[in-house]
Amino acid sequence: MPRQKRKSSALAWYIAGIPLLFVCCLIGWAVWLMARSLVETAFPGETPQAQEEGIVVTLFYSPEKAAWLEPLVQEFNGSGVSIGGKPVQIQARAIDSGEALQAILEGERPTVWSPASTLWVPLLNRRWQEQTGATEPLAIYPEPLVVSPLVIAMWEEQARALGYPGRNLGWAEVIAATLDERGWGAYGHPEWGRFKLGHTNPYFSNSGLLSVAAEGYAAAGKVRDLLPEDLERPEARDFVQAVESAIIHYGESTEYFARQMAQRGPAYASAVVLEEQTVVRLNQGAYGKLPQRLVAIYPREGTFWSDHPYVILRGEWVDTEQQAAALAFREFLLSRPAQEKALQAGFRPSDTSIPLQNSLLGPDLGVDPFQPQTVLEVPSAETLEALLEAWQGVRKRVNLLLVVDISGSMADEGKLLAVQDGLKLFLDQLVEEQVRDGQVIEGDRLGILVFNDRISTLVPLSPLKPGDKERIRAAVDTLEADYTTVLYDVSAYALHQMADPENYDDRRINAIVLMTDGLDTASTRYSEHSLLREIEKASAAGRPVRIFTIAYGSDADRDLLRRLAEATEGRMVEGTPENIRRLYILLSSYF
Amino acid sequence: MRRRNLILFIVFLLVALGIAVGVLVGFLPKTSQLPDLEIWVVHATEETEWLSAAAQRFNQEGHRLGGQRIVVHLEAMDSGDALINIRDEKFVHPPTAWSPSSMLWVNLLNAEWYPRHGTDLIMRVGQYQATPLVLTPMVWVMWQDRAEVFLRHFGEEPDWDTVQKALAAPEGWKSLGGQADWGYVKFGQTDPVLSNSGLVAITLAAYDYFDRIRGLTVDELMDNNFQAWMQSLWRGIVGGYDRASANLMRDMILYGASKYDIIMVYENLVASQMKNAPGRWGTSLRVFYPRLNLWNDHPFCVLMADWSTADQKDAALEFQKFLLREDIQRQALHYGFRPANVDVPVVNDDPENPFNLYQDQGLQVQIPRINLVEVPSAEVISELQRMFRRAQP
Repeated sequence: MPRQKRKSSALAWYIAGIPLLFVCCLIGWAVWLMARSLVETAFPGETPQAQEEGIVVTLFYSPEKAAWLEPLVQEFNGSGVSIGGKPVQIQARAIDSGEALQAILEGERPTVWSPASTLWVPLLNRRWQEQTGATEPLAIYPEPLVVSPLVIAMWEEQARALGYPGRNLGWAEVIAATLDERGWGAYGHPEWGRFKLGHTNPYFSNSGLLSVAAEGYAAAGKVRDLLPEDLERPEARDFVQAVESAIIHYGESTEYFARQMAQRGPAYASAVVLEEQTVVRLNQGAYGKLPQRLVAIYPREGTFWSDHPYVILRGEWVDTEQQAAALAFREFLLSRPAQEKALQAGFRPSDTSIPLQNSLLGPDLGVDPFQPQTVLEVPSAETLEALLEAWQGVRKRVNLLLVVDISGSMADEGKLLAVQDGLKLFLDQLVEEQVRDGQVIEGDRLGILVFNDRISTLVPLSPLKPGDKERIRAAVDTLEADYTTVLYDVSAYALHQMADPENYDDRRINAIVLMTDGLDTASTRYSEHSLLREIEKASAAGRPVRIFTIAYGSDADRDLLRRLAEATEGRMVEGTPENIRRLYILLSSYF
Repeated sequence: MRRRNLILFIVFLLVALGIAVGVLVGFLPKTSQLPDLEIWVVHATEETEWLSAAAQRFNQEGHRLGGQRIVVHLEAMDSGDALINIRDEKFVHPPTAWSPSSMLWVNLLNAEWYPRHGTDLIMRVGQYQATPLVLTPMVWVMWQDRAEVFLRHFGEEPDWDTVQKALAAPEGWKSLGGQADWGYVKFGQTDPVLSNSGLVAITLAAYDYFDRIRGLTVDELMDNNFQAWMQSLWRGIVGGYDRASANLMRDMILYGASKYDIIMVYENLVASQMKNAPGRWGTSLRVFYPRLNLWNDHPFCVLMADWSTADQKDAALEFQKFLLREDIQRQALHYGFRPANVDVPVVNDDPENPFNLYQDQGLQVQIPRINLVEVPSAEVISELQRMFRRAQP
């Protein structure tokens, strides 16, 4: 009986076990499906392995697009787009067009470059091919993301004094006003002083390069077919030199100009060459409240378009997955919602189905969407190189004191070594005196002061003669760091040197570049208060000096340095041993 | 107690086994379903909008061949680039079929392919012959305010002769009675080495110069006066050469008359873009038909290459048949194309049909004063392209 019972029990187990096995299989499969579905929901289109290897697309873009692009980069990165199961991540960096070009040539490796204008593309290709011996261009198929014409931005009241809006103004009128010694007096407003024109540095910034090209056309009396030989004619060179000598100081980007315009109003500049988009942003209050509206003058001779191309570079560092990811991001930027956002940021969308008529681009924001009526022909890469060279030859000369902190703390972490490199790079941007066709062409003037608890003259303020740069480089190499810091005293000393009538030169940009890594610890003659008074005195005597300051390292007195720069219409930048070389180059763009 | 443990152990074992089997089943390939039959079609840029919508619909309808679902992938490419890539076999996905803008490119590709392979890549007869999908002629497009000044000055519609004279006007628009701040007259065409519309434009210009519609020879193209005349046309191009016709048309509206006063481009692109012009520049576009013209027939060419299978070639034919279906051909009208299927009229009661909308701006159903020119030989086409290249700085 017990055996029989065991048998029937085993049979019952078999009978019950088979369906149980079947049910368990179903449960197992369901568990598998659920697990897979959970993974797919969390990471759409990807397997767990793929997630570990994402595709990174690095994008260099010109800074005026930041307000439009940055939110879109975040939106795209958060949308879970993937290529071949791998998530795509865009890493975007705002960098001026000329600086980006230089960075690529020096070994930086972006996947995509979006300069402000296609003009930069042949320049990159030309230099890339020269440098690497490559037969194929690095950048091809530039496609516009958004566009904006180059305009001359003027304060409305002053533009009206020139005849706006009834009279068609152009480069000729603005240049004539700049060169007229009577200044605004020639237009019935002597109280406005001189007509001050400004543009950015053409080596760094798109609007600067385009401004110089427009000047080149005006100098040659042409609107197309500008050739290098047109720029070599003495009268053309004299014309560009006259314009450049009347110009307010340069800068590395339109952002800087825009901020200055907003802060200082008509006293800062009468006219600045900018993209239409920046005029819109200024009038929208993006840089602060304006004293009055700015209006865009569309030069009647023609202008240029900034077309903000999107270029996927063809370097060996860009693989096919990155290309596909870069294309996906481009498609996203060209989609209707993204293009409509471009309009909000002051650009003209490249999607032509988005109308401008009755949009925010209108007279309220100082612009006219039905302008410009004609363009200047985009010069060839060869002519652009000739323009840059000619500009370097005739640009406004500088009268400059470099003030360098060599106190004991500068010996830490290779700080002094990095500064020495930076100084030498800065020196490369300056121009020595030249003799051309028997005529002496002036160069820049330079002096170098070094300080710790004492102030010493490393290079006396004097014109740069041929061969001087080499000697100054050698002198810079001898610097050693020690002792304490007399920041106020050295600032006042440098100011007195510059403002001395024997040294001051009102045909030049008179400036000091002061670098320091610490607080004042040992000044005996000046305090901040008395130093600021000295600055005021120099301005009142008609010899204003711009002070650009570099707060080097974390211990520098940022607030003081910022106040010094702001009091003199200069600029304070923050430096580290890693970026100090770049900062010196950046500051050179102001001269 | 021991018995309960045994039961629990067995249940645990069964659950584990079940999960293992379930996971295995999850990984098993689905053998019951045949893989998709994928084909790749490279096409001219101006066909993009029409073909994308059509391909999407084709894929949704689930067309099959021998039980396999056909899936169409598209890639837009300038005709010149496509020719080079097909010739050099430089594709990630080799194309099963190609739809260039016109038969010109069929001649050019076969002329390059034959010496290397001893056979044509595109058939002219038989089941796989190149078959026109949609038609579009070349047109002149001008901004309305410029067109009025032009017509007043020359007393006739623009054509190669008057356009060349306008481009050579010493003071630009001012010389023609227009506003001085319009600057020089600015002309636009695409790069004839890369793009069909640019190639057709210079072909038409050459026929017009020699005042004939067939028999153009390489020797004639060497004529110095002809070369100087062509160069004066190209000198009027200040905005550079767009690579693709769709870009040229976009740029005309994007940059307005500041960059292009007059361009030569496909009728379909103008027809589909005319609505955008007033919103951008507060004025409309005006269309004119040149005296000599050439139909851009957008042939669908199944490539007789060994990189695609017989099934893929037949699948491409299925897609071609679909594109010629009446409803899909009617869709082409929205994009400004004229249907190749003669059963589909150009004018219908569709309010979106640009041929209904823009007749006042010069868009014509019956093209006036048209003389069709012969497609030149591959040698003449190549020589025209070389001439263009030599003239560039």
